[in-house]
Amino acid sequence: MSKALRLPAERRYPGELAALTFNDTAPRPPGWALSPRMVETFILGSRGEELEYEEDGEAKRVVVGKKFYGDDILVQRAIVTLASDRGLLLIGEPGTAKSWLSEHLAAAIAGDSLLTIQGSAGVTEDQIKYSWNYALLLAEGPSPRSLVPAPLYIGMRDGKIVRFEEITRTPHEVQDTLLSCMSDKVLVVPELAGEQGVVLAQQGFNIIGTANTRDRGVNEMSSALKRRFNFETVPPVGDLNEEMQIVRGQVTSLLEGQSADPQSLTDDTLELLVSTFHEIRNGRTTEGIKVDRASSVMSTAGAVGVGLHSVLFANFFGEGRVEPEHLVINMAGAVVKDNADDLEVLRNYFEVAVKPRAKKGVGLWKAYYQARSYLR
Amino acid sequence: MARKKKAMGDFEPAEGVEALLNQDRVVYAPIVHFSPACAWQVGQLIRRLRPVGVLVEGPEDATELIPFMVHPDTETPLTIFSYYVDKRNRYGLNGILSPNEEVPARFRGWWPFTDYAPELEALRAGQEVGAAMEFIDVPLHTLIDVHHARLQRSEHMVGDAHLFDSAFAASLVAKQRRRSIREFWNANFEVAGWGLDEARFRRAVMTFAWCSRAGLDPEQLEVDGTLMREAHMRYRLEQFLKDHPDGPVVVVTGAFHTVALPWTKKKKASIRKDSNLETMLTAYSFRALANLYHLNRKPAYLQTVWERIVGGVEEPWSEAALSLLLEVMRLARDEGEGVSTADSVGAYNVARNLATLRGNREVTLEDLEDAIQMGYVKGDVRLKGSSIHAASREVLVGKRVGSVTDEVGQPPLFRDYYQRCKSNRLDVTGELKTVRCDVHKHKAHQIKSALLHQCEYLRLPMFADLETGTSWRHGVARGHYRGPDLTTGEDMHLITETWGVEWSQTVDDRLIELSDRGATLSQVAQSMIREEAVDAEGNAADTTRLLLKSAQMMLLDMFDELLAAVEEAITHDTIFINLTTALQDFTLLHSYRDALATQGHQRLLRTVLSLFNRATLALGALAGVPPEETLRSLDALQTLVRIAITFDAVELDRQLLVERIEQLVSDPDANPGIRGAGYGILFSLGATREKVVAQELNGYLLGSPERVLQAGPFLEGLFISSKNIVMGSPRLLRAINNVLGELDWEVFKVLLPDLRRAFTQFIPSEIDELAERVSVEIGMDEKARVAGPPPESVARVAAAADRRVRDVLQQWISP
Repeated sequence: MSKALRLPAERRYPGELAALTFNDTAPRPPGWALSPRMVETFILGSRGEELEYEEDGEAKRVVVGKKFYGDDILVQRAIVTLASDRGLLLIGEPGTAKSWLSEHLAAAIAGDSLLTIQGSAGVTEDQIKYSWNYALLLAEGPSPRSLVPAPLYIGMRDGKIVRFEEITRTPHEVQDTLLSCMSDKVLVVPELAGEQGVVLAQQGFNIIGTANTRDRGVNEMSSALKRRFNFETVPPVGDLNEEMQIVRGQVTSLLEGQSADPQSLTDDTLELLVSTFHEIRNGRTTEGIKVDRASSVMSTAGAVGVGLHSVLFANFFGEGRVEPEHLVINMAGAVVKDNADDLEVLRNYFEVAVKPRAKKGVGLWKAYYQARSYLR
Repeated sequence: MARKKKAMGDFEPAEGVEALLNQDRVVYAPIVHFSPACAWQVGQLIRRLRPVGVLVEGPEDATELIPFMVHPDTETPLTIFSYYVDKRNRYGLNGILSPNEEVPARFRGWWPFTDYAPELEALRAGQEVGAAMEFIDVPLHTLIDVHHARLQRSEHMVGDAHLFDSAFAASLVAKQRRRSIREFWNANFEVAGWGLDEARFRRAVMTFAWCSRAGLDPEQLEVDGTLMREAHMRYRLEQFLKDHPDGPVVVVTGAFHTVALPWTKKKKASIRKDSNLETMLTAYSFRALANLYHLNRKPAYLQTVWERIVGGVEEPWSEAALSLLLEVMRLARDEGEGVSTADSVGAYNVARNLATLRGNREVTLEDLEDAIQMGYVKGDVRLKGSSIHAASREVLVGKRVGSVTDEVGQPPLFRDYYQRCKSNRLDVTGELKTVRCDVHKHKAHQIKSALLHQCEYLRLPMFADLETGTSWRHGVARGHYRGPDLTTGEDMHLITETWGVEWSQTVDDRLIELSDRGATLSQVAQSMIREEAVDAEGNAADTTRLLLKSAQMMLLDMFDELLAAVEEAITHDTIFINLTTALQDFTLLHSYRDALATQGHQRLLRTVLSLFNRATLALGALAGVPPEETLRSLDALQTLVRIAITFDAVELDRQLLVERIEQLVSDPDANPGIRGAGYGILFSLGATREKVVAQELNGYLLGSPERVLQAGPFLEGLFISSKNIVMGSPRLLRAINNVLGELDWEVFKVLLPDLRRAFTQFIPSEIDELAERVSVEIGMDEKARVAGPPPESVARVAAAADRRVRDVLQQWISP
């Protein structure tokens, strides 16, 4: 068994992908590993239905799990975009599962989610397209052997999905490297002569970009590049129960291979955690009482982080069961990022939202309220 | 022997549907309202079958309107509009759905028709084949008990709520992973159904309706009148069959009713003849239709599809989607959005691919709307999507306006509106016009102004912003009018009224809505003023404002009635602000009496006198005004004093006013701002001396710590009420200066913010003047004040003081 901290989606769910391929009778867009309908099923799950498939001559069954919670229609639109000649740009607040969705789409469509460019201010064109093995370059001059392909080169050559994370963190002129690749579907290597110097994108190639709306970056994308993408806004999860399922699933997944037991985070404790993030993000409690919004995002990913840390904390320093105080201890750091006022927002939340529930004696809310003293 | 099946429940769905399809003589055509597929299928059915009769779900009292509906000069959209004015309070809702029991509740019902409405297509096809045609549902007033009264609503419109709100429908939505039952319907019945064999289509719709109905509670159908309506429709059908013994009859009803009709026992509904019920046929608009259904429907989209179906286009839904995508692109470009043809190509591809992914035969409305968003919105849809969404809504809703043949005659309110527009030379072609009314000089302008004020009050969408030319649609903009506004007291220096007028076709929609209130604009306005008067009862200010409004609108008949209401309010209203506001409005009414519809000059003056006396007597209540109300109260107090001084058409008791103010300021615990203002007013009226004012100020400053804090508001009140007097009275100024000059330093620091606030009543040049006077008063040398830079020693002291202040403030901020 691999000891990797986290496996890419195609290696995490090989059985599901095999079952979907086995049962796929619908037409596939050229170069795709699965039909759009099956890609959708991979992301949204088979709703409890068991799919049969054969592996090494052995009959097997698998239920495809739901991997993305939120707007199902958004997933359909994303898949359809990738089947067209336009790229897909997923935008939204940090922590809304844009990269998660991008990874799973790439895994289902191309069977490979690792062709990833991580956008940053330091990204250069050669990290996107190709660079050179300088020893070989000096020895042989420019040749296919001395060329080191980067994700965009490989994606075009092999007809795969290229993921460009945080695309708008990349300098404007570097972003525009994508222009000809997306419109003409051609990548030219001027150092190589003849056909060797031209990479024609193979069927199946496309680009999924992600960008945070908090980074002001989307505005800095050129109109020419914007035109080559369809934009899809990924909103925060609107349903509390769905968000609880996500946090539960993610914490469990992140704890795989560790001694800590994800079940030590009980449903009652999980509800405290997710309600806090959900309600501060929405500025309103489920009872309709207004609460202050924090300047930080209060994303689902943030709640996953607090959940994970709380489980580890309880296992290493507690009795093994996550108590409300463990959540509070780990929460301040997750909420208060670059604005100290957010701590006050969290304290006020305890007074406005947690206290009335504590008074009613509902669930663990009383213990949660008592743990507010850890918010320093 | 098997029992004869008599009720829906006796059948399995498939068996029941077979029985439905094989009725003797009667051919049931199940429909969903505003469904192009159903419209196409029912038209085909009737043209093929050539029945002797076509019976349609619709109010039976509108049967006589059918010839006008199918008249060649009539163009859709149009609506049957029915209203009932409950003058006898039959339904017990007067005072619940109307302001009080004296005002009758009004109940309305709409049955709109478009080209793609199956009911209208059935009637058109019926006319073609020479069939007798009837509406067979109950009229509006028979629905009031079970619909309006039960839900306490005044409106009703046709819909498919039962069909689409069932558990069965919800299960279909979940199974196909659709967003809503509408999306399910569009994909499976509209796009996939219009081209089906007509019998197969009917079977599918009936099966859907049968399963939807099977899960509903019959008691609910009893309560909401569904069963009563169906029994009545059955009765009408039986009657028709009796009167027409041969030939097939097509029955066009909502699918939900269709599946029950054969097994429903006929029963004529109890329908009373009632002169308070009016049913008419009028033109309608797509915009009004979309609003009626809360923008849930996209009339222009469905019309585009319909035109392609009728035109024999192979893929009408997809072709309509393409043409509308291009229209949205054009409109978005006009609005400055950078949407290119390449974006449209991309969006159309997306729409088709979405349709394929979702298993839709052609592009549905949902595919189209998703494609518009994906292809045209370049950025976060929440931030960048609004103008694309607005363009999309405008294109998909559309602007089409219907017209009804002249033979049907116009409702009286329409006649009145258009006749008055014509006689006042108001443009009704839709061109933007600027209309000026000099109401003081020309009688004709007064009449025109009154008409425009009526139209404005009734929110007829016929105005446009004078600066931008933007149409005035929802009765909230103000840019369409420039001139004196009596109801707010603004711009009273202007003499002429200037209006931006731009008639729009949706005026007719609004006129329809107002039709039940009267036959003329004046009657409608009166009816609405009366309703407002009920809410305003006992409030002198609100009632007076209504009087002003009615005077502006020349509602002469209302003047006595409203004046009596004001007189009544004066006796009950003890709120000082209300009384002074009403008094101010009455003085306006008096000074504008030549331009307004007023009557009884003496009665007006008597009311002014009563209001003045009541306001003066209510003045004592100001003592207890809370701090946040001080400014409003001061404003009212000044208004009262101003009127006492300037209004001379009737003798006002100024001595009473002085006495009451003296009484007010004599209360040491009264609101300090009010007291300060009171002293200022008394000083300006010569009723007190500056020494007394200074003593009062001193009284605050030498009192308890709480009292010291009241000195600022006292001064503020004083300055507000008598700023000019303070400026013009060196003695009062000296007295104030002396008191402030002797203040303890610690007290001064505490008071400083309030003092600063009090002095904001003066403009900068006045502050300079005050400083000059005070400098003379304290013997400061004029030259020294204006001389060049201060000597170094002074600058050093100032810099040290600066540092000290900064340190102290810093300590306050972070101790």
